[in-house]
Amino acid sequence: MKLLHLSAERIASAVRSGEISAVELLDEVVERIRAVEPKVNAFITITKDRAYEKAKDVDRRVRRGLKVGRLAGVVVAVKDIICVKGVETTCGSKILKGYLPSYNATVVEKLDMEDAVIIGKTNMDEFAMGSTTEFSAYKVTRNPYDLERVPGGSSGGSAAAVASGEALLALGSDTGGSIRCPAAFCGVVGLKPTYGLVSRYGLIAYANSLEQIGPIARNVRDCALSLSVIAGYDPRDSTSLTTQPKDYLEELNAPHDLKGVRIGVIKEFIGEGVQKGVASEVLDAIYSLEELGASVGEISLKSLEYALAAYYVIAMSEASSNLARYDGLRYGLRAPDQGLNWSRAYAKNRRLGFGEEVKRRIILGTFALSAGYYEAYYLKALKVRTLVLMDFQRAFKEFDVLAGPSMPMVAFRIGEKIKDPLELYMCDVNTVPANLAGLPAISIPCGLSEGLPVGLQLIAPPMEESRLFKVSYSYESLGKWSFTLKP
Amino acid sequence: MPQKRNITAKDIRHLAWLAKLELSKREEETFRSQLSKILEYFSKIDEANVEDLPPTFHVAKQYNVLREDEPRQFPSDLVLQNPPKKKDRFVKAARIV
Repeated sequence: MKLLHLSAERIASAVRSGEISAVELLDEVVERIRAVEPKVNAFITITKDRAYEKAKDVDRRVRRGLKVGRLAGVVVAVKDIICVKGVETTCGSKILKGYLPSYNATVVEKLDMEDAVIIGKTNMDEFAMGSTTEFSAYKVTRNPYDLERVPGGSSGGSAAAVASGEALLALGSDTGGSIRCPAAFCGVVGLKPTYGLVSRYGLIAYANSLEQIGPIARNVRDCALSLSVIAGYDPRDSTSLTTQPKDYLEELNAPHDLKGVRIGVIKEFIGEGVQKGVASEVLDAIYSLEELGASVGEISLKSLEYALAAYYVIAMSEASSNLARYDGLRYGLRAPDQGLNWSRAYAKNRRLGFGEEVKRRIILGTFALSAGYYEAYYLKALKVRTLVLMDFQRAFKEFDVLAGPSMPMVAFRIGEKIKDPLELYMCDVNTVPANLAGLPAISIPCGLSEGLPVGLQLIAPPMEESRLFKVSYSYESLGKWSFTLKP
Repeated sequence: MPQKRNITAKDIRHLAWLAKLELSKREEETFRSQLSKILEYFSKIDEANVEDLPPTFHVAKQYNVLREDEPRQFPSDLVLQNPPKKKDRFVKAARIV
């Protein structure tokens, strides 16, 4: 079990040079999955055969002296909301049981092109609606730090897979915190990129205007490497930004310090409702950044008071429209034929196929978009979104990076909050603002509270991922936190 | 500004009909009791002074992104693996009336 402890960056370079083989690493990962997966439940589907085929192909090309990619041999887990051609993609829902995509998502093409080895599809809240992964129609993923606790969500399977060494990297998606929340709860690094930086082609839609695919990794350098691979313009996603891809890892190699970097602590992120242990770990981390030369101040963003409500109105409205496509005819679950007419057959397929949280959000979204309420809810929420954007723009005149806790609490117990939907929605209060404004935001582990990981969240202006990596890497280099496999 | 009101079982049934979503009696009752509370929280946005602001539908700057109107190859054998009910190479739908 020695390769399992190496970073993705190190593995890729060792595979490229022939020092180790991709199959050797994969053997170790498969052994690790055999040992811990029954406890952690990170995967919905494990694609072992596909993985070995790829790993052997990489090794063969290395032996022949042919070019191999930047993620050569690196074992990656992919959230089950992202289409992999010919591999069952369920989105955590019964309504997509058995669905075999006829194409690869752009990010999957990019992983393949850079010779990553995809090991499986990870568990998630159904249609990414949730913050605990408990709303999966298939299984409950457990937090590798404490198996009685949730891993966070909705990309809980991806974060748990990375934390437990069942993969070296993972892809998640983040609509309102679904990468940063599980990254914080599981003690790993998770990035939500700038809206439009990573193609959403092949990402099953929940709320288009908010979501982005992003990497989950053991450390900042691996996260930067992954983003370099998946970012870039894609004509198949009409919201894709036409910018030149960057080498984010290379940028970290350049010497830098934090002198002149202005960090603003968002007052609303650290106030009432934040656990004491979480606040103190996060503030300690921010003081460390100050010691590295950054200047630290505090800023209040008044509009954040309305951000959570506005976020949920927008996300649910978009969801109710997006999920109209699930009719049970073209793929997935279909009720036995009872001779019902179109409308009733369609409604029945959806009754059997969707879980409770998905139904709740469809109903709420339908309400917010319905005659007489559209202006008061949906349109009003979109105006609040403008206000949030303006607040961030103002804040970035004073500060280069904004900071606070990713989550107001550490991972809670399985079942603890699932009965009260509103209480669960409240958990996302610090993560949704970045989605509303389309900003890049990262969560990095910065300590333990009650023995559980705490995530520091950093937010930057659009397209300033490099800045997030630089600050995060400076913190990580202090060595106050280092990745260890759990459980 | 919306009238604050309690959501009735009839409202839930109407919304479910609009969304083409059949609900069980139990779900109807659960949602009825939860939705009033959730909507009350959402009404928080009423307090924001945003009347003069334009809505932001999305933050992407692009508008009317078009592509050439050229047919693209469709792997029909792969697509046809998915429909639960088929007849030959056709998807079998529910009856219309």
